[in-house]
This record gives sequence, C-alpha cells and structure tokens, in this order.
Amino acid sequence: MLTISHLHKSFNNVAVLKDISLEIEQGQVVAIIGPSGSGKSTLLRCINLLEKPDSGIIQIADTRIDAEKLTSKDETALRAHTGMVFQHYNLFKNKTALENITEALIIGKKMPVVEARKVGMALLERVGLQHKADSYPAMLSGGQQQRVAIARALAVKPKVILFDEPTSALDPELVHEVLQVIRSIVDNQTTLVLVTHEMSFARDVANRVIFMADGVIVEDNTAEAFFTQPQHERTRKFLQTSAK
Amino acid sequence: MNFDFRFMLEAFPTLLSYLPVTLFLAVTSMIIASVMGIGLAMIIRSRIVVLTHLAEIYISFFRSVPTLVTLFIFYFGIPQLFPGVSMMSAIAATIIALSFKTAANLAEEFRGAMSSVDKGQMEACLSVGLTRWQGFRRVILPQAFRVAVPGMSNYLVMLIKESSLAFTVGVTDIFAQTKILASNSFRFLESYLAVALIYWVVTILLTLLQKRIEHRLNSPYQ
Repeated sequence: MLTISHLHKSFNNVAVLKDISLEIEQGQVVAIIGPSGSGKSTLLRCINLLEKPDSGIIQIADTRIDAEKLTSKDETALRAHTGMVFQHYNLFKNKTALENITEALIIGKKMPVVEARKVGMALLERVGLQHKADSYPAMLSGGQQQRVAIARALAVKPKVILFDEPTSALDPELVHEVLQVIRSIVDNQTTLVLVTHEMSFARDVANRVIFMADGVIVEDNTAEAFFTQPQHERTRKFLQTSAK
Repeated sequence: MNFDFRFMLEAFPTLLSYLPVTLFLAVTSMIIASVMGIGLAMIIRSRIVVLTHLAEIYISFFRSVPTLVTLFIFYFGIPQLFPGVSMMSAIAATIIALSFKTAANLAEEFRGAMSSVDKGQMEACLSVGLTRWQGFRRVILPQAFRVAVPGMSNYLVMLIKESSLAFTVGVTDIFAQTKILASNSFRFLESYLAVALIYWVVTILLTLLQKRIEHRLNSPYQ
C-alpha cells in the first residue's frame, strides 16, 4: 500500500535518511520511535513531500513518484493520498474549526458548500467538538485544536494519515483526549503512521513499531515483540532509558 | 490682531468641496500600490534570482527618490519620449507617481507581514491537498493582511498628505484651492490653517476607522 525504497535525504551535507526502504500494508498502525535527530520526523515529512527526498521511490496506492524526477503533479497526487497531523496542530488561524475542515473540501475538491459543511459537522462530532464549530483556533485548548486537526486530516479521506508527534506540544492532562481520538480512528482500513514519544500508546495501539537511529531503521517488529523481546542492543538501551 | 476668524470659517465649505479630489488621488493610489506591493513582495519571496533583483532595484529606486521628482519624471519627462502624444493627464501622472512610490514602501511592509505567518500554515495547506497558490490566497494572505493593516494605514495617511504635490502639475485638489483662496484674499494664515485642520480631522477619522478594522480582524485571534 505504502512502499518506500532507497530513500535518501541530507540537510547541508548531513545525511538524515540513509537508504530507507519500508513497506506498510493497508490498515496497519505503525509507530516510528527513536531518539531526537534520528530522522523519524523527516521520514514522515518525506512521505507527503513536505520535505523533498534527494533520491528514492515512494509509492502510495497507484501513485508512484521518483524523488529525482519530481513534478508538481506528483506532489499533488501523492498528497491526495495522505493527511497529516502536526506537532503544533497548524490549524488555519483565520478560519473557524468547521472552516478548517471544509476548506480542503470546498477549495481543493470543489465540493458544494452545503455538502462540505455536512461532512465537516459529522467529523467534528466524531472528535466530540460539534459545539465548537464556530470557534477560532485561538479560542480552543491545545487538545481541542489537535482534535480538529485530526478531523481536518480525515476530511480528505486519505489512505494514510501521518502523525508527527501529535501529543508532544500538549499539556500532560490534554494528551489523553487526543490519544483517545487517534485510537478511535483505527479501523483496519486507514493506515496510520505515527512518530511518537508515547511508548505505552505505541504499544497499545500500534501493531508495528519501527525504531530509527542515525537515519537508519534499526528494528522493525510487531509491537508486541518490539517491547517484550527487542532484537537489537540499541533498541534495548533506548527502551531502558525511556522507561525511566 | 490681524486674524479674520470669520474668513476662515467661510473658507471651509469651499475647501471641503475639493476634498473628494484629494481622497480620490490618495485612495486610488493606495489601491494600485497595494496590488503592486503584494506582487513585489511575492516576487522577492519567490527567490527567482532575476526577478528578485529587478524588484529590489525597483524598491530601492522609488524609496530613495523624492515623490516630487518622481511626479515630474512622469508628468514632464515621459511625454518627451513620445512627442506629439500628450497621453498623460496631470491626475494620471499624480496617481502613477504616488502609487509607484508607495508600492515600494508597501512591498517591504507586506514582505514582513508574510514572513510573520508561521511556516506550518502553508504546510498544513499542502497536507490537505491545497495548491501553494490556494494556500497563499486563502490562509497566508488574510493572516498577513492583519499584520499589515497598521502599516498600510500609515501609508494611506502619507498619501493623503503627499497628494497635495498634485498642485505642482496643475491638479486642483484641496491644497491647490487653498493656494488660490489665499492669494486672492491675502488671508494666508486663515486659509492654510483651515486646510491644515481639514487634513488633521481626515487623519483622525482614518485612524478611528483603522482601529475598528484592526479590532474586527483581530477578534478571531484572541
């Protein structure tokens, strides 16, 4: 469903992703974990081309792009299959919660306004925020903003939703409501890829865990095996330190 | 004391009837300058080497040259290139000179305002499948506009005052009318004080309007 092969990315001659290859099946929930600077966020951002890989192939469903021959058509096509939830929510600050969701439908997909609003309200209800439809982001708590952001990502019916540390910027007491919503969208249809520091959540919700360090995939395992019988020394050390 | 208060009062209606000319010059120039300023700011942000340099040269030139000199270049200078055709009316020359100059200043204002919008906003636009242009128009520009309003209103006030230069090329705006009134009556102080008060009140009203616009634009962000 999502295939990445031989992906390379450098920033100012520092290699951040070193020949990453990866295959993810439809409906899988994949947690990517690892120390800061391991390249996990960069990998995620390469999947929807917010970062342009230097070389490599990315394929989602029937869209296949070659990083070295990237066209703007490719970008649009690949992004049409993905949605993203950002660490700092990145809600459109000049739009209400509902407008944040309907914007892509009305402007991007040319959906009639009435229909888009219906879809938007249904999604807000799904994340429990229908009563905040007309609130602007500045009036919402971090947790509420992130829930709207998840609804916004769902609106475009993506095949893959990318989560870039969705709870790292939240106050501890708001983390739970966001994790709850993420858990609720796991449906064996939509593929989720999460970069996260929430170990227990990864263990709980993900069915696969990828551990990255220094731009390479160190370990790629089922969630169960990853946390109970890690295969690599590096993984064991990481799990020990993060358990403390 | 040699001050004819009554003359000054009676001057107001005459002068005010020329206020629309002044406002027309300023507002038209402001609109043209805003469109040009946004264009220039976008060019500079695009980092397309040749275009960026041209835009920077444009900005540097028009920010450095006095408005009066720019006006004379357009009104007296340009027709020389096309002899026999006096295409440019004094009003058109004034509007061109004022808007070309203000565009240079506004470009800097807009560039700063656009940079003040968080990078994540555009990334979010792209992530839901909007194009760069759609994201710019629907999300970046409205947020940048809010930041630019105070600066824009400063330039509008400046334009209202600088439009008085139009008298030098023969446009009868509120200031030109004041000059006529003053030299016909030799009541210089009364006439110029009257027009000064009008400029002052217009600026006060504009500032109030600006506050209201700002309040409305800011309300979603509080």
